[in-house]
Amino acid sequence: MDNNLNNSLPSYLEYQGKYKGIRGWIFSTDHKRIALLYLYSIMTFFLVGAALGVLMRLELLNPGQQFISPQTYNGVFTVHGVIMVFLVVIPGLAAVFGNFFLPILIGAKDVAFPRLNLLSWWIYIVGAILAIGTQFLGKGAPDTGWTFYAPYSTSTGTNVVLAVFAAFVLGFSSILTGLNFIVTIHRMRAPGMGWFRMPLFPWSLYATAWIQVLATPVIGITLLMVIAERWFKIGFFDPALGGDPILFQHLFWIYSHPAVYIMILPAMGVITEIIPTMSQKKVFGYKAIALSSMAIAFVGYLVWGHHMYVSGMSITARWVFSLITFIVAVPSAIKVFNWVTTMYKGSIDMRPPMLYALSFMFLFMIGGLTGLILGSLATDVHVHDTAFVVAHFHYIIFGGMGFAFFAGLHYWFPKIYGRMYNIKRANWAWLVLFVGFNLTYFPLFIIGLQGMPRRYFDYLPQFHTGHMISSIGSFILAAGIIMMVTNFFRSAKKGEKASANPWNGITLEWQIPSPPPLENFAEIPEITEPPYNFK
Amino acid sequence: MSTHVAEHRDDYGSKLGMWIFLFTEIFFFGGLFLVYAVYRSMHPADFHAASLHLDGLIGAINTAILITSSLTMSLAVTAVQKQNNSLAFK
Repeated sequence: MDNNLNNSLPSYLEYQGKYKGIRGWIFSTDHKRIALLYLYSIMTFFLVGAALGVLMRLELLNPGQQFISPQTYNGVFTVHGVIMVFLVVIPGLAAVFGNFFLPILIGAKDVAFPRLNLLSWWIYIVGAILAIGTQFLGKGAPDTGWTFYAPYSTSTGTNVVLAVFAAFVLGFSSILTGLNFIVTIHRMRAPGMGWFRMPLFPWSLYATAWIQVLATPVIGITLLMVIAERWFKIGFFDPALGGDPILFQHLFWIYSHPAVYIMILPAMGVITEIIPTMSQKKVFGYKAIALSSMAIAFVGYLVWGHHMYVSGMSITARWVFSLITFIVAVPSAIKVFNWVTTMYKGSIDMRPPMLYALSFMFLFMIGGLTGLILGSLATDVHVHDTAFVVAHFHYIIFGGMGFAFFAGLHYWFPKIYGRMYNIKRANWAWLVLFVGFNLTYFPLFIIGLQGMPRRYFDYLPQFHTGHMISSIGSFILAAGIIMMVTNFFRSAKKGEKASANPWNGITLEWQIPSPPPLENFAEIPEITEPPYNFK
Repeated sequence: MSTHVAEHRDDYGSKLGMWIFLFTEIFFFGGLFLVYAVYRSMHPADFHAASLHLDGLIGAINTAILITSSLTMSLAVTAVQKQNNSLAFK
């Protein structure tokens, strides 16, 4: 193991291979450089999407038109959704931390198909350019919402074809990454690392990869069908042409529900890495956590109808989907119990990774429990398509996956850059973020219950107070994001040099230098014990 | 600095990756075939009437192109296996 800490090899950041400078990065097949390429792209699009979100909140500060037209507003919520879903959260954790740490955590030198990995990133960039292009080219930014429901999506004059084609291209980036990870995990674990000696972040990536591989093609073909309908007038979805609009909803959600598990499973995996280290204690229920990831992935394929309770499905379909929706909450709850039990009688280190991990648990639980309200048939009729739904999914996606992403950044930053960020600034940024987040989204639960619809440009005066609090919250939230990002920026180049193991972790990434050398390990370790074996 | 790239060859892994890709193709086109099957079973008479409008010549040309491309793919693979790279390229 000590051989691996030998610092004489250049790190992956400094290494100069066949290509120099920026070409050494965008043509690199090193999984660590590809991970950073994804990180910078995804963070950029996150900030763009966040700015669009703040724009919406500015418009919704008061009733009536403030400064953008209704048509523009529709375009803004559509592109906000497309960017956030397809460019940020779906690739998100898997592309950044999966690419960087999967090989290291299983004791490998890289992924199974490094060139395919680079291709995945290039495909992502092409898809991103197409998605941004929809705003400026053709007949106007799409106004269908990121869900592209037919028949509006097949008949509206705006740029739908380009937008769905962008999503189609991005889907292939996701599929190829998933394929790469499955083969990597099957074939490249270090000697002695059986399946149940693998750390839990790779387990979550494995479950995620299967969803990426099996579900994404379905949205691919659905989006092509939308294009076919717009160009060739083939009546898949438009009733006037003999089609069925509910067919679109089924096809769309058969992917998009598993997609939310693509978003959250790696997030839960990151939290499962952070909590044992910051509690200096073995994970409680290792097998339960590993298998619950697989269970969530599997059962998650069976619940898509809960987005469609009011679409006219039969009562049998509705109660079956509702029942399975309640069942899929169980494996997630198992994880939460296991995290809490891991912390019990541990030695808790409250530095930023743990702050974010604990916030994740709190915000994810609010999101998850409100999901049960949405999952139950009778209550859903009341809150479907209201601000309640918006609050629910922002708690789960932003409070859940987003905060887990920030937690991963704070946990692995010293490993990635070999420098430590300013802890005090990180703590303050966290506080502003956390307060801002709750102020932004909690009022939406309340006004949603009171009847405020989603995707509405204007609203009745009775919802004014809720919207006002939410908008002010969004400014605080934005400030917190800026504080966090600036802290990282300054520290990446000028922060204090970090040791190889600042958090006293015992998984494999802490046994190699910060930042890691090319090919990670001077010699591949032999694994003789289960992970998280804190003494 | 000597070359850092270690020769890594994993035929099982490569085949596994290829099979997974093929499964994604099955889901991709399978969705389309499923939609076709459902609509056809719901409207058999309409599908029969529409089929009378299909152009036999275009269908025949398409089939010929598909079969020929499969042939050339197999020929290329055989050529590579026989180390005849220039022939494979043609």
